[in-house]
Amino acid sequence: MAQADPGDPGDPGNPGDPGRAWGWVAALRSGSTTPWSRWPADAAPTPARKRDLPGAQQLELLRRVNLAAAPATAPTALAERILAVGAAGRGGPDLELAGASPSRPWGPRPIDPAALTDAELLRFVVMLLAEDVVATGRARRAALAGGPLAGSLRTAATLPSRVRRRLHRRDPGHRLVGDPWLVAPLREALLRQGRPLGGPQSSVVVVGSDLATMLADTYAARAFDDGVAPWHRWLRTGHGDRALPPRIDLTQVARHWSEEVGRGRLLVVTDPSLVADALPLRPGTAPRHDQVRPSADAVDLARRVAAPLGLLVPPAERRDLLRGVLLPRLLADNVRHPAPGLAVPDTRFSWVVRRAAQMRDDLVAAGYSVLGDPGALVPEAAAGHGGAPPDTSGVLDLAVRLLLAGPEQEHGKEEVER
Amino acid sequence: MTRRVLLHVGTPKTGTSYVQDVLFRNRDILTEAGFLYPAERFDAHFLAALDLMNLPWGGLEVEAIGAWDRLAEQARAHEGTTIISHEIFAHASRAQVGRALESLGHRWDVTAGERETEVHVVLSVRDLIRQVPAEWQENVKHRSTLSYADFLDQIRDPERRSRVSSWFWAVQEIPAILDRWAHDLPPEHVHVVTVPPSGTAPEVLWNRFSQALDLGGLDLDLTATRANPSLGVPETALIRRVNEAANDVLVPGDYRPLIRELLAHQTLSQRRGSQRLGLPPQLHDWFLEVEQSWVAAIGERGYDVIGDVSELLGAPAPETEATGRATDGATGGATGKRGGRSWADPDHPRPREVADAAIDAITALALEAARLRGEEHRLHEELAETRRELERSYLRPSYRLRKKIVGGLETSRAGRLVLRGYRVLRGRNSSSA
Repeated sequence: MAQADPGDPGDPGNPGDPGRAWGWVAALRSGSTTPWSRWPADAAPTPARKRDLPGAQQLELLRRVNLAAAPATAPTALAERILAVGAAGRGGPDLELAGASPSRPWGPRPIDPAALTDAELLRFVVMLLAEDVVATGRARRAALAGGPLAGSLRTAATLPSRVRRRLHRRDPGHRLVGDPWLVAPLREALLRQGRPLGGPQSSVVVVGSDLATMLADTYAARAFDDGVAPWHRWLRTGHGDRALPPRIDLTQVARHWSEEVGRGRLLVVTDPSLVADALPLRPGTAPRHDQVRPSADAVDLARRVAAPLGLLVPPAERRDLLRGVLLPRLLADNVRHPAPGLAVPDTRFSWVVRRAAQMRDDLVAAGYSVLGDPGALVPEAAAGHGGAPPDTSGVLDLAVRLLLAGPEQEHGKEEVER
Repeated sequence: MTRRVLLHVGTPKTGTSYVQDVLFRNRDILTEAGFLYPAERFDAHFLAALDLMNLPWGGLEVEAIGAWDRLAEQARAHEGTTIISHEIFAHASRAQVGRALESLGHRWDVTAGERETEVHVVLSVRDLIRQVPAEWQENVKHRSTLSYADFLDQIRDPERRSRVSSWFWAVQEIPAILDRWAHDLPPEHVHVVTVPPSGTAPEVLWNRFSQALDLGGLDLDLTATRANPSLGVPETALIRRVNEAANDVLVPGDYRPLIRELLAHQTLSQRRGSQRLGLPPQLHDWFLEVEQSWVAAIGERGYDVIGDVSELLGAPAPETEATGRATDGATGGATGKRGGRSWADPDHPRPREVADAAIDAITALALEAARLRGEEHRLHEELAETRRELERSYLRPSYRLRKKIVGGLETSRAGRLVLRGYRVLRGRNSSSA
């Protein structure tokens, strides 16, 4: 059986062979992993099944999904979704398969799908993941609202008002500020137990960690809120030598709140493992800070999914879906496929150490109450080497694994049991 | 009655804003004549296009969620002719076009006579000699800081690697757009409307659109109330410099009303006498060659051309002469003269002309600031008056008595029951008694 040369797509004499291409599409639908360049030139032509041949990006993505699913076959419905998906945003167009259509002097050059970059395939796969996240969110809401599970979640909002009032009378409240990634689950834990967040008599707890980790945490928080620029660009353009992100500039944060509430009601915590001691949480209910950090690849995937998700749901729902639906799936995947967390690159590390030492000295000099060692704000020299920047190939592999897992159908049940 | 959809899919800068404005304002007359222009707001089809193509657009995409499906549903439900029009549909990929046509009831695998919905594609087109500078200007009005020379370099890159280049050809490459939208339609259902040369009476273009959209004989109000006016060379250069200075500090929600609408559309586009943007004379031949291949393709395909396809070749290049100015890139090295005026390079505008435009811009912004200050003052007055009213109501003895009674009742179980009974009898269950 002769193997095909995709041909020079720019060759004006190339007549194209759509029948052969449709044969390859049919094989991919059935789970084939054969690249287009090895698809036999003399393969029997297959009639068209759709108005247009899918683009090279969709076809190569399906082949990658088949590779990941092997020896099983990707679900038929997933294969159809992949073949029909469009990329989000203003990137390049769908590309034609080299050798499948007659050459023309206009339009983008057709391409051998094997030449596509992982980044190009990610533009398409994140649209599908965004749809899955929305579907899971809807299934979860339906389970909670209409099904037998309705009312079984006890959050602050669902606690009886008399219980809430009693708790509020006894507890003047705590306002949590600082590292946004550490603060978010603590706030949720307090809310779940009916504790007030803030209030006229509340204390302020400034939660921090070493500055390299806080930078990665701030970036992750942005990625799981409304999307953000790539990690290296964000470090380079957003937060150079001039300033830290406001939320983790603990010197400024502490100064602001000490002026608002007075030093007596302000506590700076530099060791996240101690923060539960400063809060009225029931024993064993404080979130373990080291269990809720996604890998560098997972954070990068989240920021990429955030963009198309914003085309499907309003901003507030997007944040809930990224944190409530996508994040647990990414953390679960990290258990089976461990990957390093985000790390500040070596080129930026000395600046981070210098800035953290200044922050430590300023906080100590100001005389705030500190729980933990103020020196813990300064990252150790080896800290940056425990992590890595996102790797596009790893991000695509992760995305394909999530795609194969599909949207969760009855996630509400799991949530309640938790 | 055959269900028919007329899909006007582009291209930008071909009078599309005017057409959409006329259609929107004349919806009732169109409805009486059996046409449906399904839009509750003037930009409804823009939102549908964003939704269909998964395009973010400075926050507008949030309003676009589900817009295409709603539009298609209206078209399917209408037993007559539906008109859909927006120029960015030209950007749609083949997959997105397939989805759009399918949702309108088009079937690719049956013959034209067997189809439930008869789809016609309308594409209005203009020569690249005018489209290239117009597209760059449109980029500038959407926050771009790209110089004209870089823009020209990028769009002539055969690999089309940049986002600018990719977008430009997606919405301007006429045969490729028609390949995506209309390759399975009978050629007589594909209507190519050419934009006449500059200086032609405005009604000529409308008459061509009217023919393409089958609106002949309808008495429509053709007053122009919404257009996408163009800027001259110094005005465009000024906006680009504003972008460079303000992009990092001005969010899209403020950029749109202040820079694009107030400065560009309402102020700078009204200036007369500035030199118009044009293609550098030395690049005419490059674009002319591209256009010639397009004209040949359109002729071979047998589409319904309304106008003259040779208008796509544009005006001849002005004579060139060396300027001696040290400029780089695609725009440097030569100027052209037409009608006694040199070709003006927007990357190196005359400082005095930019300064004149800047004075108009500052004046417009000062007037807007004054208007907003007046509005702020009015709102402060209104707020102060509301506070005074509130204070007066608190001071009334009857209010103080009621407050005391309610406070007393809320301290006991029996009192709360009495309050609840009172609220039920009063007809609402709010606790704000």
